Amino acid sequence: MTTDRPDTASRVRDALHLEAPWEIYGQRLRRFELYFDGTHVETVRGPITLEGVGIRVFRPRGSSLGVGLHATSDLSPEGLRAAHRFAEANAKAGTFPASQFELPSKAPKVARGPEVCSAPLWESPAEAVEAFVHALLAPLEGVSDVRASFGSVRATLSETSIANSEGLDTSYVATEAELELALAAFGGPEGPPPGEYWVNREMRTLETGPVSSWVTAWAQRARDVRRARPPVSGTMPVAFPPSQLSEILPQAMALRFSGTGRLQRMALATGTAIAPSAITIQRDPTLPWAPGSAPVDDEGALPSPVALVDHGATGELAYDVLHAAAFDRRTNGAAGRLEVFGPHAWYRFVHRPVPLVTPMTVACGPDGTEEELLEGIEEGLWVDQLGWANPDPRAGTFGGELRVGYRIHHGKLAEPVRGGTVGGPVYSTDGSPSLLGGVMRIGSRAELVGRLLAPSLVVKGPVVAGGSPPA
Amino acid sequence: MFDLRSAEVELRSALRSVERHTTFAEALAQGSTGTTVRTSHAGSSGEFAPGLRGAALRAWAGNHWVEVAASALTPQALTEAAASLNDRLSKTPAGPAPPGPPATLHREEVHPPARPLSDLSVEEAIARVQEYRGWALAVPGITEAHAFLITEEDARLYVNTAGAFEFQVLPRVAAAVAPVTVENGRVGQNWIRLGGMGGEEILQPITEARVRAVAEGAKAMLGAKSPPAGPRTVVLDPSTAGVLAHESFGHGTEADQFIRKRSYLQPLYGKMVGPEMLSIVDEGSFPGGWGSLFFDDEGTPTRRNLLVDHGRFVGVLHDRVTAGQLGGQPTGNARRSDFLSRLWVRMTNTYVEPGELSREELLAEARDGILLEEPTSGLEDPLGGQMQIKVLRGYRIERGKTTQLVSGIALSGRVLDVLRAVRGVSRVDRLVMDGAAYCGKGQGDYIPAGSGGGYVLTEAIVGPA
Repeated sequence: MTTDRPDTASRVRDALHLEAPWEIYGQRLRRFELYFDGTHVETVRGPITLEGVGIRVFRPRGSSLGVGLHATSDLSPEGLRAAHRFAEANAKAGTFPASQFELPSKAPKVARGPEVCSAPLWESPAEAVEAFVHALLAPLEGVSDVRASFGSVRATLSETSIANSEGLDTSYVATEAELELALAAFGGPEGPPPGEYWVNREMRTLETGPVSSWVTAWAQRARDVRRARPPVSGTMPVAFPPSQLSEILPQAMALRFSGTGRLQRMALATGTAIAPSAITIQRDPTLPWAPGSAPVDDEGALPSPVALVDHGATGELAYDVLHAAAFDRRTNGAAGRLEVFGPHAWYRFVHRPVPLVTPMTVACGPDGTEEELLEGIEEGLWVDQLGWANPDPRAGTFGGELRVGYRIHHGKLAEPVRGGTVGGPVYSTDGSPSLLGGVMRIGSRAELVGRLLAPSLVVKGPVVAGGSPPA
Repeated sequence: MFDLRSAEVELRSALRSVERHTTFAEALAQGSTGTTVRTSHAGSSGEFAPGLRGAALRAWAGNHWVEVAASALTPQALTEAAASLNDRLSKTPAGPAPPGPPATLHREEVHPPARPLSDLSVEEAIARVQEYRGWALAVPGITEAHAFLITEEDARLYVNTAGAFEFQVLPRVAAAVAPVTVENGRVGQNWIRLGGMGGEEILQPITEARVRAVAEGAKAMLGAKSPPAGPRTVVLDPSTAGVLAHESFGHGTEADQFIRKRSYLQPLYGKMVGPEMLSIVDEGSFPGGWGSLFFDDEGTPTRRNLLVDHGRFVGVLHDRVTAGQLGGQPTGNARRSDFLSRLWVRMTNTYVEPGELSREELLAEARDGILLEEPTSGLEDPLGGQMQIKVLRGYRIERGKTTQLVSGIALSGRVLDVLRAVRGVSRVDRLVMDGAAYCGKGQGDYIPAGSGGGYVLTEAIVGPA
């Protein structure tokens, strides 16, 4: 893999003569996308090229700071001067409740850390995307009852560079990829209508090795969707695999376990018991190959793990430079320029940094394999997929339609179920039922799905709203 | 301010350079100006819209689209993008022209609002949202209140090798005030959220009295009970009814899903799917609608598309190719988030046509059930025919009256069951499209999408969310 050191930020630094304190976050990006259905390619996109910077200036305003950010992809001298003017204007208008802060200064010019760049994807992105699509479709050749009804593979090659008035001048390269696949089960004698199983994955690589086994498992889920019936209503033990937890925990904890939540007077007090003592949840940006991991955070700070939930009690919060400064402390390297919900996640220079709780890990427990987790559960539910758990980061709740799950009966997975809803609080501070508070069993094997590395959890208490819909 | 129209020559030159490898090519140049201001305990911030502008170049490669994008409108950037497109196109035979009719219009739609908010300075905009926030914080017990105001002028220029030249500027405004109260770790929240195409008039509903009432609503949420779980009679408020329209007969009528054989609705075309009182519309030309536009990103003028007419499924949403493949006409629903995003068949403003009953008559008809208010999200299952809708709160309906406040609710059901169970649709004083809401397709590609309607009485499964 060869690339010049990413230099967008330093070029802009040299072109502008900014009054300290300032920060420049630069990205040079290439993106490749391929959309397909079961029979043919729909759209091929790429290269989509984008180079831009976010210029941030910090100006004292009495006991607070005026923080001005402006982003632009116009890197001409005129464009940069205009961006600087806008940033200064924004700093005059805005205020942030901190006065003393410390920008990072220690990262090397070429930052090293967790593996976040796939060499094959970097060297031949269009080919890697195409090969991955072929690998997805190959297991379905000759399969008469399941087809890919839609899918896309999208890859982004990013060169990130950060410079600031403390002398920081650092950079790294990374690859990111997203997979979307919908598998439809159909055909056979007169019977139920087609059923579809969806998968969305955020990854760092497009390795084709495990794809065949993934697709085979997902195809079986599509068949199960087709024959599933609604679950019964009630409160019961509910098992959540890592793929579903990754849709719940990061977003449900995004606000109230961060400096943003603390500033907004919504963070949970340190040491509050919210889960059994076997539960430890960390923000860990050093996880190799995890989306969100990086050698430096989005302000250039060296990242390290932070225990958000430590043996069942709330621990440290995630901080960026400014939110830390508001509480007279230093960043813990959790700054990210990511819109958690919304467009443009593949280019970050347009966003202001905020403290992020991802990548996240849930510590493994003593309760063994997924089969062993279920032992002794007379009646329960395995949630394979909710339509959209859509957690509320303020209320700390989640809930959605059960896309597909499995009844747990006599300690084993039984028939598939579908329809109705599963939801409730993710955490509570007063002992009322919640997902984390109700953890009964913790699996012994963790899986990285998106921005979460976690084992399966069995939880006592989430409400299942089932029953047949009216005819 | 940069005028996209000045890039026409370079865009046409780029398209000409790929014509030897394709039967049709088009370009969409796009750029936005505007400001976003926010305020909360975390301070106040004002940001001018990112200085991003560029163009997507798309060409037909015989049986699929190939496209590239450049994040500058300079001759060099467009020439490089065209070269990349040529490189891709050269690997496949040009083949026949894409199905469906190309746009050929010459048209410019630039209509500044009578009272534009784009005239506000960042300082003035921050002062405005701070005032909104102050109204909320003045209510005892409110511990936090977020407020934001977004003004945007989304400029789009469409040109193609069939001669079209279409330019539009879409002045959108979105604002919200969201009071929060926290007590023993429990959160009570509520909000007022508005958006549309226009100017100052969009913000008129944000008054001190309204914000104080919203704040009182946030406090009341601390005492809300958990919702019931299981099948229930439900009444959806107009906003939630709009989400029902969007998720039930919006996504399933996007004709690209028909081409993929991915819509459970396809075999139902022309058949009754609900009672006669039920009509569902998608209308990109809705005056002032949050999802309104003059023409879509293939240059097709927007219009009113009737999807369900008195219970009968009569319309689907098309782009050029799906119209050509299915024997229809483009409907003005081909949309991109921006020049960096692909084009899909998308909704604009989708709503349940208001009916005759009053809200009170509808509640009386429900007798016992649950009223769902203030949607937070929705999701469709285009092939399986299921959907989910989530709302901030609800009220139990007992003997035809609303009683106990209940907290967040998820609604689930088979679309056809829910629609066929509709027993009433209410009238409204004025049909409005909810704003400041975004619709995603695929893994993202969020676009402004309006929704609305009358109150709707039906049956579904509900549970906590």
